[in-house]
Amino acid sequence: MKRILIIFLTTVVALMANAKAPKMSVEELFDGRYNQEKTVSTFFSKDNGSYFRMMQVNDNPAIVKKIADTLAKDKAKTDRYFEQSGEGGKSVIVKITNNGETIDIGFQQDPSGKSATLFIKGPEKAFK
Amino acid sequence: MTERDDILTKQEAETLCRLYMDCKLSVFEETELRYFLSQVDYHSELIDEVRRIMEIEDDVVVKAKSKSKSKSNAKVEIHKRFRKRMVFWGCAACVALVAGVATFVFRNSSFSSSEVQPYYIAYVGGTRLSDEAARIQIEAEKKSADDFIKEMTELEAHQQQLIDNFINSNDIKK
Repeated sequence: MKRILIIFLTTVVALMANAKAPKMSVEELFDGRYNQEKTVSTFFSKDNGSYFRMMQVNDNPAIVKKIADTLAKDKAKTDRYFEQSGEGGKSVIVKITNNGETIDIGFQQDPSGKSATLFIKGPEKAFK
Repeated sequence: MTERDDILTKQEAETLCRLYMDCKLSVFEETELRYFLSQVDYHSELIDEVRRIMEIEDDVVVKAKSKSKSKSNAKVEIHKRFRKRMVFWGCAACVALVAGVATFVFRNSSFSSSEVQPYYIAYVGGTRLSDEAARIQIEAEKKSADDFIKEMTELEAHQQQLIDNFINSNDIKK
């Protein structure tokens, strides 16, 4: 009896864990905290099964650093990322797969580190 | 009778045994006689016969008690099994309930809900844009994001190609 109960519980927990949406740190940046910020532009959309978030920061190194640090947390969770640094600044692309679909997280930072753009894009199914 | 035990003779004991055989003793008197016979060493055909009958009675009583006890144990066992089953089905019902609630909550969460209407929200410089302006700007930003993804993918492929070429050229040199 105990064994059956344990197997049943494990299966339920596994299914629930599998169904859980991917936890992305960068997504927390779009909780509205920067909506009223003069140096930041935020964009939210969901249409035709597509999910999109974007944040553009102009001349605010503190927020740029915050975004870079947050992205580093997500980067540590996946091995699918590509990063390029040069005279034009830094560009990062992180790919997270969920439900057979890919979520793209892009980040571009200017050489001064004062301005940056972050976006999250992917099919809605990938966020379920 | 305890006071008289010491003075009961063999004849008196036989008289009592005869009354016992004739079923003329009360339950209390029978008990006293049983105790008396176990304490004294009187022997006669009648006394020994009464002792044997008393032993048989004792056996019957012991067996009856044992049977009653085993029946009681069986009842306890059935009760335990019933309780275990109740606990199991209770747990199973709880788990099913939790799974059901979790599924319901998940299906109704903001991400999974297919009933959510398309939306476009944009804040620029701390001000919210109108829906239409937001839609136009977001469409443009989505395109720039797609271009960025494409550019980075091509760049990554190019870098990978350079790495492969480098490894291959080193292998050839060896």
